[in-house]
Amino acid sequence: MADQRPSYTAIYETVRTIGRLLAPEGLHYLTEIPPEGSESELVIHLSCMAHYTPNVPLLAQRILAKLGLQALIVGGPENCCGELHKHFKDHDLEKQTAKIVMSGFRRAKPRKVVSICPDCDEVFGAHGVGRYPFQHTNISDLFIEHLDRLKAEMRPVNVRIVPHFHTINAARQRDAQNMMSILNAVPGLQILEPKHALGPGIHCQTLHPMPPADQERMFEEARSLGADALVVPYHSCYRQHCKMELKYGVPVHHMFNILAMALGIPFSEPFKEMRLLDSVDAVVEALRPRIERYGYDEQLVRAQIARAIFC
Amino acid sequence: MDNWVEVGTEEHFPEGLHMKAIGRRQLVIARLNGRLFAFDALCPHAQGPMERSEIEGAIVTCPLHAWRFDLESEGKELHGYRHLATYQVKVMEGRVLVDVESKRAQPHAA
Repeated sequence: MADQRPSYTAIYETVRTIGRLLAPEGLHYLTEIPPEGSESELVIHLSCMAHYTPNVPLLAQRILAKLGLQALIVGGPENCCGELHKHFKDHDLEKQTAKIVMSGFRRAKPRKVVSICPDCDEVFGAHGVGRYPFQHTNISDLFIEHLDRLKAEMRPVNVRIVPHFHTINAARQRDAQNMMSILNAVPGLQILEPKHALGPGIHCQTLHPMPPADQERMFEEARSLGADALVVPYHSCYRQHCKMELKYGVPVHHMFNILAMALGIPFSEPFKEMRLLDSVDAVVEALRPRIERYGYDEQLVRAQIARAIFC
Repeated sequence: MDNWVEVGTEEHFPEGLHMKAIGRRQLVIARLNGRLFAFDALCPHAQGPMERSEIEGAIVTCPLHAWRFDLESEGKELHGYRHLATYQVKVMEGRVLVDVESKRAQPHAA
C-alpha cells in the first residue's frame, strides 16, 4: 500500500518516522524550546530533512564538544524553516513557519544559531533573521571560527578526495570556501582537482537533483582521478550521491565525517548503510527490530523508506 | 445553563472544513464522512490555521508542522503533544448547534 496521505502530512510523518528509525544513540534534540531553563549560547538548528542523515548533527555536536562547546539542538518538523511551504507555494504559511522558528530560537537566548541546511539559510534570510537578537549562519562558519583550535587536535587522514560543491550565490560560495578551508586543514588529506564536481542550485535537493548524466560524469572523473572519496558540504548532497558507491566504488562523505576522522571521533552512517543495501525489502529487514519496537505499520514504513532513502 | 449556540443549518456545512466565528471565538466546523465536529481554529502548537488541515478519516493535521489530532478521541494529538480543543456538536431540526462551554482539551501529554 502506497502512502496516499496528502502533502504536508506525508512528508513530515516520513521525517518523524525515518528520523526515529535511523537515529543513533546519543542524538538528542528538542522540538520546542521551553520558555525557561534552556538557555544556550549556541543553537544547532537541524532542518527537517537532515533527520535522514543523523550522523551530520550528531557529529557537529561531538566536534563542538571536543572544543568544550555545548550546543542545544532543535529539530523535528516543528523546526521546519518554511522551505516545504515555499515549495508548495504556500507563501503565507512559509512566512508564518519561518517566524515561529526564529521566534522560538530566542527562548534559548542564544548568541548564535547555526543551520545545517542551506535552504534554512535562504528562507530565514528572506524573512528577516537579521532583525533577531542572535547571529544566524550556516554551520560551516562555526567550524571556520574554531578552525585553529580544531587543527591542533587533528591527526592525519591519508585519503584522496574529490570535493563537490555549490556556488550559485554568495552564501553558497562562502560554504564552498569554508569546506575547502576545513579540508585543507586536515593533515594527510590529498584534495584532487575535479572539473565536473559542481552541483546545481543551492544544494542537491531531492526535488531538483543533479542531472543523472552530470552525476555519472562526476563519479567517473572521481574514479579516474583515483579518489578514495567524494566529499560534500550538505546533507542533501550526501543523500543524493551516496548510492553511487555501488556503481563506482567511490564512497561519499559529508565534510563532518572527514573532520571526525581527523579528530578521532567514531561515527556511524545509518542513512548510507541503508541506501547501500539497495532495496526497500533489505532496509525493512534491517530496521525491523525498531519498526516493531515502535509499533509502526510496515506497509506505511515501506512507502516512507522509498520516499526518503531511495528517492 | 444552556450553552448551545446555533452556528447555521446543515446545508451550511457540507463535507469539509468551515470557519465559524462565535463571539470572539474562531472555530472550525468540520463535516467528515457525514459526521459533524467542532474545534479551535488555531493549532495549540503554533497557532497554525486548522481550517487548512489535511484530513484523513477523522484525523486533522495542521499544515504548519503536521501535528495530528484525532477528532474521534476528543482532539488527542497522535504523537503525544498538546491536544486540540474540541466542542460538542448536535443537530436539531436541521440546525447545527455547538456547546461553546464544552471545550475539551487535555494538557500537554508529552
